[in-house]
This record gives sequence, C-alpha cells and structure tokens, in this order.
Amino acid sequence: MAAAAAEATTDGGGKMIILISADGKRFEVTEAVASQSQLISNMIEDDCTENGVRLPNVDGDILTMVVDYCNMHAGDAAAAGDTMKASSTEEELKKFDAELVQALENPVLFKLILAANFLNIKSLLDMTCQRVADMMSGKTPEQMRETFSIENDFTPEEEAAIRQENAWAFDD
Amino acid sequence: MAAPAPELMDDVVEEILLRLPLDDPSCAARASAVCKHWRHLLADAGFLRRYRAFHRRRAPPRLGFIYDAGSPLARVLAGDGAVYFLTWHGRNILRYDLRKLDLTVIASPEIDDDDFENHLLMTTEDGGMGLARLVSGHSLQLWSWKPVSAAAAWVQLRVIDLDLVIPGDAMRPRLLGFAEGTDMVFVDTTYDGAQVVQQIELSTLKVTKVLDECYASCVLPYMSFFLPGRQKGKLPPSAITL
Repeated sequence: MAAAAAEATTDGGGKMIILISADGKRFEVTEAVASQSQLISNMIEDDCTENGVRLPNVDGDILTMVVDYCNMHAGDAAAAGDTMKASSTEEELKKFDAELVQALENPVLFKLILAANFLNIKSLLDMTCQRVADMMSGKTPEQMRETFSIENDFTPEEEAAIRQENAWAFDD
Repeated sequence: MAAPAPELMDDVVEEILLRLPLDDPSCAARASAVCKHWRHLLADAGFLRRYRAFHRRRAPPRLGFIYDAGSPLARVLAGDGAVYFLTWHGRNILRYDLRKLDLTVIASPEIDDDDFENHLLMTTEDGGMGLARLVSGHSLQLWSWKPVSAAAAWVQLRVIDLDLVIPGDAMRPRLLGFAEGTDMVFVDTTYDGAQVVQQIELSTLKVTKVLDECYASCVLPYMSFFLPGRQKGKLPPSAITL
C-alpha cells in the first residue's frame, strides 16, 4: 500500500516520495523537495525510497518544520537546474528563514539541528547553528551549560584558574 | 525552559562554536570555561584552522591598536605587487614595483595650494592603491589609483563632509590610519584640547570612539582571529604605544 502511495506522481510529473517520522506521521513530498537532504538524495539515487523513507530519530513536529523549509527552498535547486521558475523570491526566503529560527527556542531548536544534521541539509544546519551561536553572545559559562544541558566537569580550582586566565572575558 | 535540550554530538557542537561572534572574542573565552570537552575543542589546532577557513571572507576582528606619536603611516603594500610611499607631504607618491624592481613617481590628484590637507595611503577594496585626503579638516576625499595601461589615472571614489559625520564640535580632524581589508579609517579629533581617536566606517559613516587622549599621529589596528586556548588565554592589551 505504501508502495502504491509512493509511486504517485504530481501533475508536473515529479515523482513523490513518502517520509515517515519517528511517531508514524507521513509526509508526501516531491523528489526535488526531498533531495535537498543529501541523505535522501543518496537514497533516491540508490532506488531505496519506494516503500517510504523511515526517519526513526525525527519527530513529526520537527519533520513538519523540515518539510516546510524544504518546500520553501525547493525553488533554489529547481532554478539552478532551470527546469522550473523559483517558487519564492530571495526576499521571501530570507523572511521565511528569519521567522523560522527567531521563533525557535530550546529544545525544539536543538532537535531541528539534530534533524538537519541527520538528514544532511546543509543550509538548514548552517542557519540553525548560527542561531545558537548568536544566542551565546553575552552568556556566562553557567548559562551556556544550561542551554546545552552540559555538566560542569571542572574542579572548582580548575574553573577558578580558567576564569583567572581569561579574566578580561568575565568582567560583567 | 520546560524540557532539557537534547544532547548534540561533537561535530554539531563544533559547527556552533565555529560560528561564535567574531567581533566578541570573550564569547569563545567563556565557552572554553563550560566543560573540559569544549575547552579541548576550542584549543585544538584543527579547530583553529577550520575557524580561520570558515571566516576567511571576513577581515579578522580588531583586537587593539599600536600607535605612535612620531611619523604618520606613509607606506602601503598594494595588491599589484608594489610598495607605495607618501612623499613631499602627500603631493607625490613613490611607487616601487617589487617584481620589476622599478621606481616611479606618481603625482597626487591636483589640489589647491591654499588648502591645508593631510594624506593617508590606503588599499582599496580591490587591493589597489588608494589615497585618502582630508582637505581643510572638513572634506574627506577618497581616491583610487587605476593603472590602466600607460595612462594611469586617479579616480575619485567619494567625498565625505566630516562636519556632518563626526559628532560635536571636533577641532582639526586628522587622518591617522586605516584597517586593511575593511573600510575603516581612524581620525584624530580634538575636543576642548583633548585628543580623541575615532573610527569611521566609510560604507555606513558610522563613527565610534576608539582611543582617548593618546596623542597619536599614527594608528595601526592589530587584527587577528582569537581563540582562548591557543594564545594561552591572553588577549593583547587594547592599546600599545611605540
């Protein structure tokens, strides 16, 4: 049954594939949209997408964002191949990207980073990592640890030494 | 925060650390105090290489200044393989071609003898030789020298009215230096007898005060990519006088 659905084609003739999230949600996208993920692009080349692509470590809500992002950016790839007019202008894309990352907070932002990394979507990984890096500006080491859920593994003496060494960076 | 953030793997953490704000080295220094793993990551030679490569399209951030009360900066090495020297109070420029070992004299763009002016050699955006000239302390002219075959010529890029750009009643502005690879020039101004060095970003005309009462006649910014572990945690002082 999945195979039948996956064989469906759009009006334009682009082949559709089905992405299945960890919690079983199904997303039908064109190959052009899905192949912005290098992982899926490789799977398409190897002809192993006909039963749908299971993504056991990407939740449905995160995959929704990824699919929205890829749908929005599908024009880039298509325009480069000159097969289709870019669906969105550069300005619209910028606005969409800015709104997407601005709205995100931990832990959703980190989940999106992990998904972009796993699916190997470079532009999405770039954008989300940049957002986290920007958020670190002005944060203390404690706040950074909290953001990343990291345990402090320095002894109090070691930490004091590091702070001493970089004293100029800690005066706030 | 409701739920704890999921743990990121090493290569993703590295992607984030690569993107730490370049103009705020203290951010990387604080990040190196987060945990042992981050400290090792940030101090790793491979990471520094990737950090430089990642930011290679941008000029390294300015960490401080070297300034001198003696002679003003009067030479630049331009992208055409020649060193340029300012001579005769900026009326002439000597060009020494490092490939042909050939010395030529270039006359500065014409000026009115009655004006008081001060010159600064620069490199332009395309790496060529440029000249900034401040006429009568008000009008900042930016010139680019375009060696087109035999008939080399000066091209005037812009004229900026400094009275409109520098805030307050600044007296006698003078050009002190520029930051290579950027569009920043450093201008000396005097307020009530006290010298203040200001930085002007030529593209945006944004003015920032950078040094107070240093009595410099030449300012050189030092710019470098800074990562805490590599430089043993030491930032150079923000101003060094020669």
